[in-house]
Amino acid sequence: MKKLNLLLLFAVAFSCTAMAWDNRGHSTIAYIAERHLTPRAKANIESYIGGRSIVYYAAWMDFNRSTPPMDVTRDWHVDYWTNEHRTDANGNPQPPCSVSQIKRIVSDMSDFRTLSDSLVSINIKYLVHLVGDMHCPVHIDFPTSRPMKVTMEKKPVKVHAMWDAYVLNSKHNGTSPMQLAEEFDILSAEQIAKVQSGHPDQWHLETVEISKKVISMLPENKKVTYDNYLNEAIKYAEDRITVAGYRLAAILNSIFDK
Amino acid sequence: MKKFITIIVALLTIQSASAWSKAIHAGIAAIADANLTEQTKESIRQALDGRNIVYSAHWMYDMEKTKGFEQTKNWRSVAVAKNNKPLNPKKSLHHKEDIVRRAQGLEALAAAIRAIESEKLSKEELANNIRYIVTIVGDLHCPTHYIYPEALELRKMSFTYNKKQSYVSYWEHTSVAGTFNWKSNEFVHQLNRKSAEQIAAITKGSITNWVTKNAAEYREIYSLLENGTTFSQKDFRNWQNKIYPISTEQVAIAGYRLAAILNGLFDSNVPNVKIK
Repeated sequence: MKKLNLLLLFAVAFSCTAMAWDNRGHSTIAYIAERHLTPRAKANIESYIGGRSIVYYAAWMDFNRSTPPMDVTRDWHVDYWTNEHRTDANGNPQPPCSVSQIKRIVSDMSDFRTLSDSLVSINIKYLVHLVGDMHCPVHIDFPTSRPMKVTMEKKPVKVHAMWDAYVLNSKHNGTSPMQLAEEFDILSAEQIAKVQSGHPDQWHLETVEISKKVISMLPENKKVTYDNYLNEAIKYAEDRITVAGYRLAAILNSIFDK
Repeated sequence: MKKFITIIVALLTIQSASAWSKAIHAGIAAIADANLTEQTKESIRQALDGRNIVYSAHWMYDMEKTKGFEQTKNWRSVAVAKNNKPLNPKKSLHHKEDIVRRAQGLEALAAAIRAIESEKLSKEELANNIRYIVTIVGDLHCPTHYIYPEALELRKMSFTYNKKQSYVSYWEHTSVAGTFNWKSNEFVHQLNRKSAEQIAAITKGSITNWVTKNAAEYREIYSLLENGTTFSQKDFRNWQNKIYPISTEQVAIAGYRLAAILNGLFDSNVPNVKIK
């Protein structure tokens, strides 16, 4: 059965090479966030997105990344962690990248009522997606990991592509995002408050460490199986998605609960 | 080899004769269920042995090969004239094209409604007619279930993305699932968000009015594709971005209208939806 899963999901991994978490991952994050929005924040947000749920727009940035003028956002999904021109003297990532865009949007939206409805609407769609992306381990783009490939079922696949969709789906394919949100959203109020503490720069550094970890976990021969990698990687994926959901709620509540 | 080809052809034929996917029918029924009055829900629960309508959303399709239900294969679509009004069944039943003769969905829906209104049904007949209504109303909000006899070539439109695909089949199976792989409770969460005023506007008029309006709107989907297009991955995503807002909206509309019909039939405080 696991072999069948591998075969079926291999196609998914390949079809999502340029995506972040896939739609299931992003939707799960948004569902978790939605469960933790205050009523006032939820009402304010939905009034700017045509009465829809934030989940509807969870993967909207991916759907539209090739459509002008949205193609300018193509590079926003990843945090570049390089020694190249995209870092400052301290090694901090420079725009364009998800964490800097999140910080910019949060700042711009501090008094959202002074902005046009369309700008608030698109900024909501950006936040819903980018907070998810910044918690995806392979969205820390190390120069060494960028071209890295593994072999799954005797076929080569980029580590990035494997993580975007395959790791989560290797266990949860067929489970709806709404159901996954129910299963993942089990932390106590105190635990959630702890997860939500800090700010995007700290969360980014946390993702950097986890990214290094999940790459170091790869088997030496790069032949990935459930036994040597996936069973452990799934735990990281579930954790990252859950944490992203709580933090997305924290960001949205801080902007819209007023 | 010949047997293999026959099987493949049969499979393709089955797919092209299908309708909204099972998930979409369930989604439509779930949206309707969320908009039923308590009186309606209770009456339906009793008629369906404790089940809700979501359980039966695809039942008419499940039964199509069962003796006594073969005719239901002709109850999934509606043929309309150039002015978008439903063809007179006397004309459509004798049309030279089989696909037009088989487009008896509106008549079947009307018959099921009249049968329930007659209050002369056995328990089994009542249950079956509820199930017919649930499935047919869903199908009558699937754009490719409208047959335009003067433009049957539209049904042969295709495109290539990885492989050659039928446009009709794409609408029925992938127009929603290509973007959102929702379960029935997610259809409700995402789409059951219309205001009372919006729902009143959607459910205003007779079923024949709805069909005529749908027929006019659904002609437009054929202008969204240049027949024979080969899509790159990027272009296919951009094209799908034009499709899914239309298909998801029709799912929501179908759900509200199904609720309106059922509430009219089973809640004495709600006026019946007229057929004409």
